[in-house]
Amino acid sequence: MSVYVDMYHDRVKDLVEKHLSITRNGKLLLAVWYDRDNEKGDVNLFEVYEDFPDPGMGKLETFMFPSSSAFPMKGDLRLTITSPSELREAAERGDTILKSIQESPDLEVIYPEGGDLTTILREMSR
Amino acid sequence: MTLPHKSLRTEAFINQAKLDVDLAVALYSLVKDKADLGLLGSRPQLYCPAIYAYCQQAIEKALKAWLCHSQGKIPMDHNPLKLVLESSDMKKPGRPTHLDMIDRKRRYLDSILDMAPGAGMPRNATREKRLSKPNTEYPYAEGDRVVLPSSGIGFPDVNAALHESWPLVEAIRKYIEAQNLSPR
Repeated sequence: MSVYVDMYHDRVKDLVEKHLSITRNGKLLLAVWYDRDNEKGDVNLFEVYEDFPDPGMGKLETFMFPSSSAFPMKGDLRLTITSPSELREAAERGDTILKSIQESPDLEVIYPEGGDLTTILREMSR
Repeated sequence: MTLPHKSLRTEAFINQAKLDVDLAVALYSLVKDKADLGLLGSRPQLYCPAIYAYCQQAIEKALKAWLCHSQGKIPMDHNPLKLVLESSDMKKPGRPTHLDMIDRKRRYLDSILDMAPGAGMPRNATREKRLSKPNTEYPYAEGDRVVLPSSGIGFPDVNAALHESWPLVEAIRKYIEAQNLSPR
């Protein structure tokens, strides 16, 4: 396991805590740190919000934020955010980003803490 | 100062609308060529608000010209663009209009930026954000060449947006031409 997982752990949790306090997109339903052990030192974060604006494309998109003093890291913060409805559509279409998250061998469900990704995604798909 | 006769002002307005529609058509063609050549980048779900805003203005101006001609006045109490979009065949039941889509995408990008850990901009959305200020002017004159702000990259979903408004632009242009309102 690379050194980055330990190094980033608290920062990722803090970031998700901050996101929990942002209410304009509805409740945070899921936050997953996936592909944690990557050599680039990227932080891959996937989040689902109750009412996140849906761009209407039915596919997920990842935005890459560079390192900053507020969130220092070697690589980029790769942030993928969606809503339950877009998530359902993405799942039906076999979205590649969603697949890479589901198949990531090294992931941690940050919120709800200790949750099981497969179970949560199945419940959201109903 | 003596104001021009109403019909002269109307004719000038219609001529300007014709020019704007022509420019929108040219812009669409340029973007479409880029799309056909696969040069529109890898993120087609984003869009270029500045270009889209320009084309939207061109459509709106042409519609106003059409209303001006057909009704003898420009109605000020409603938005003619909205009027036509809502009543035309382009708006299919249950399907959002392209204006709805643009609004959704703008809110989406704003919400993504809210989630940034610092003031940094996403590497792959910087350009779209920089261009998000709508172009509220008509910076072109007749004979100007329409030049995209940059070539090759950064105009992902403008093609889709323009494609949706294209039948309307074309219909207006043909109508204006058929009425011989703009002898160019």
